Amino acid sequence: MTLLKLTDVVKRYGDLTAVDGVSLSVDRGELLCLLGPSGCGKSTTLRTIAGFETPEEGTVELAGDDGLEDVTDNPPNERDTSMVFQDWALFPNKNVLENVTFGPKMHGVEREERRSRAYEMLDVVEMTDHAEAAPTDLSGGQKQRIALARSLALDPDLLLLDEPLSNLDRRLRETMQLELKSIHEQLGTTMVYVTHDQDEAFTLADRIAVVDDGAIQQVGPPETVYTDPDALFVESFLGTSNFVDARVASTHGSRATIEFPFASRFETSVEDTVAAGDEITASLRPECLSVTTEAVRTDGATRSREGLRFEATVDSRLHRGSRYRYELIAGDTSLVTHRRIADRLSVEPGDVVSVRCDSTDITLFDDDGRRIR
Amino acid sequence: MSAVTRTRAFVVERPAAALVAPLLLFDLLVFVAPFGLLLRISLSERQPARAYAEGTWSTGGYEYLLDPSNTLASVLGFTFAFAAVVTVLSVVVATLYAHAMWRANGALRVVLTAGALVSMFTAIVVKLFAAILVISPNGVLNTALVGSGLLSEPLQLVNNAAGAVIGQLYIVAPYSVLAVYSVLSTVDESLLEAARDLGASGPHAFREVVIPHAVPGMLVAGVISFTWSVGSYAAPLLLGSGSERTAGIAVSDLLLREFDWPAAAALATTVTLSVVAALVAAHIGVSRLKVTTDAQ
Amino acid sequence: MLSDRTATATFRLAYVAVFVFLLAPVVVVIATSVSATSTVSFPPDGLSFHWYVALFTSEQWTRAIRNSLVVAAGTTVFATALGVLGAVGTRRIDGRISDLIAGLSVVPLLVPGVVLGVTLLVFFSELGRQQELWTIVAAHSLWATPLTYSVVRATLARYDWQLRDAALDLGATRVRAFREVVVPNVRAGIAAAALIAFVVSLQEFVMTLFLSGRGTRTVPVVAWNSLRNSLDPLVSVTSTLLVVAVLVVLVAVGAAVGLDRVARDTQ
Repeated sequence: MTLLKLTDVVKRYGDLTAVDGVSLSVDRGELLCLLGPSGCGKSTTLRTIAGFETPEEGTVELAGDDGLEDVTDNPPNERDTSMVFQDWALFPNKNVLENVTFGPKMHGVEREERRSRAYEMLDVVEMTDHAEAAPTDLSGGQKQRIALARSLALDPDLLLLDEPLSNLDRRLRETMQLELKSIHEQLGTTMVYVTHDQDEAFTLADRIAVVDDGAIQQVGPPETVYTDPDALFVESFLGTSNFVDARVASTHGSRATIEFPFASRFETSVEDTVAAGDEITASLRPECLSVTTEAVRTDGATRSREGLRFEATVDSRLHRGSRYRYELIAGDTSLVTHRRIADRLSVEPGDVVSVRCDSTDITLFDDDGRRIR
Repeated sequence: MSAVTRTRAFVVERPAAALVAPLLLFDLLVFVAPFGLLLRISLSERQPARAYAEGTWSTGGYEYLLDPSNTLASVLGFTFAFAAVVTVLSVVVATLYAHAMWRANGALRVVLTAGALVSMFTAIVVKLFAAILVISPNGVLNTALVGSGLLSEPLQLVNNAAGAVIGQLYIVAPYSVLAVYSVLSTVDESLLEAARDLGASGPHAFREVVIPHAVPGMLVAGVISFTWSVGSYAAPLLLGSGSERTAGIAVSDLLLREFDWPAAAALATTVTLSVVAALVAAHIGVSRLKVTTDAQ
Repeated sequence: MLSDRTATATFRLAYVAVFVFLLAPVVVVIATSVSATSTVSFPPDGLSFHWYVALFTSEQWTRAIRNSLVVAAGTTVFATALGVLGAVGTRRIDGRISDLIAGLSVVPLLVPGVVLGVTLLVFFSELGRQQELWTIVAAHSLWATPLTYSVVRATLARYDWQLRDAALDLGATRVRAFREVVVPNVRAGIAAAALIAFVVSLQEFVMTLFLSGRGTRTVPVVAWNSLRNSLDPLVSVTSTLLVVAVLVVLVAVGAAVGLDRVARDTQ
């Protein structure tokens, strides 16, 4: 059941278009992550949902008593959304309990009831011992929990989180991510979560919406977005990959032969929009490159349906803690792959190796970043 | 979008902006309007002993300023020379003291800062009164110097230019100190340590490391001292003799004693304009200084 | 070149001398005010508070003190109100316009006090209202308002407006959000601004000299007139009182910033 629906939302600041036609729908109970680099418009979108920004075009609808209601022009205090801010925004002149009871107090809830509700939420975030503390005496992680408890005390339909963990150190962040996930499962509150950290998005999200330049590039469950990207931006933003400039050698029907700079070709089916001579980009995920020391068959560059097969020279091998990182040079192209220590390759810099990449693991994008295979 | 539409959009988006109206209205009524009147009077006909001839237009007031037969030329000359002397002394003293404040730690810094703050918040009248008590022939300083045998005769530090300068210095020094200090306090002390480590002696390090950074603050201190001294009134009047007349004193005399309003207004306007000009010049100087230091 | 030791010693001597120079007036004035004799001398011969008593029996001086307090109170209220309104009004106006307004409000501070005093004297007498206390309040406010405006502006800039957004998000009306979450955290800055206005007005002298008349003279003006003639011990007393008043206010300003925290902890 849809809880939130954005339709063609546009938000401009003078000449700058921060949100450029965003449409999104969020189901009750799900956790949707808005993932994207800094400045891509994800925070502005969140603030528009909360009511701090009014869009120039488009509508924001929230589920009410009789289906979706248009709340585009409603101020924040008239929407059933609650926001957890990036630097938590705890009221410094009130103690923890007063902070958490603030929402219910503004809604006219009786003193006893709002206190018990507050303690309930403090229990969920495991901070009941700190009820009398002043916010300035708390650590970052503790403040984050209080901010969460404060927002949840209102039992909002929709919880909005604006990069709430970005001010915490890495280890604390990872702990809090798991706690947030378990709170989500425990309470079932619908959440929209903004982050630039893909690991965070992968840990938390039921669905990820990848945002770039004010627009949503792709929405889907984490695995889908990772393995089946619609656009070059999505592919490059999630994880790391080897991007190789390739060329369409020829086409026949819906199949094309793709030529790679290290004199290797393979044949595959592509979108109709592709023509011979087109410059395209291929993405070869490091984890999909298999490396052996067998020599390549002497008929050299192969035309194969199975994928790519080519020779490369090992340029460097770096020990990175739990993994080895190998840099391979094929022709003028540099490719990276990793291996766990236990699975390390028995190669030295200078060795010639043969590299294979199955065609199912190769993703192709045209000049405009659109997926063509 | 026309200017009207833009203004309307501006005001509609920010209704709170109207709150600034009282402030602007106040400045308009109590500052701009009176100055407009002053300017108008400065361009009226002079009428000795009857203030001014209302409704007339004349440059007599300004001509009077330029007339070589009156003492105004020497008054202006004295005023600027006075301001220059006070400025130099003030900047030197301020840089020295601010440097001491910056290098000091803990209790000493608090004490030195308190000294500057207390002095800053002491009323002019109190300071000048106390100055008299300290530097007059029977005052504290002379009693100590003569009594201990260092001098055979007391120093004449009141009723002359020296007194005026000292008095004015009392007024501007604390502000100069704070101006230099606020710039120095942003300088990393490890710069000085690095200089010492590389072999610079104390005074050398001061000159090479501290002064360049302090220059913007010194400029501000200089501007404050100069503009306040150009417009000085109380210190030269109380601690100088009759011949230490600044422009400020001359304006007051012209207005209240000679009842020559256009001339007084003309002089007042001229003084104000030269102060504003000095400030603009200093502002340009500071921003140009910033450009060169940024470009380095 | 001087050796390092000599340089350091000279430096030390120099800044101590400046320190003494800066504070000597205050010390001397306080000392002479408790002199037992009828002349002003330092060090004082004998200690007595009889001059303080004499002050409060002098009609001229008590009227001056009353005038000073009335004008200072008026200036404080007026200048702080203008400054707060102005700061709140210009908060969301960005960059050049708000800098321009700030610059304009500071212009009166740049004009020499004599010129301002003379200009306002002429202006008010053309209006037929001279030597009235409210004209003095207006003049003092010219100098106090730029200060209150910039202090409150800085306070509002330092304030985290996200707190107000959070309050709105949690359901508070705009008014309630302002009351519960903005005012308590901004109070200290406004108090500081008010105290600064008070101090500025208390010690303002040059403009007041021109604008006040027989019934409306403030303490600095009466002191000045007295000084033109002779050294009067009563000037020592009022000077001491002025210094003490200013110091008390300074301490209050410092405490106002810290007092908030004390209040929070003891709640």
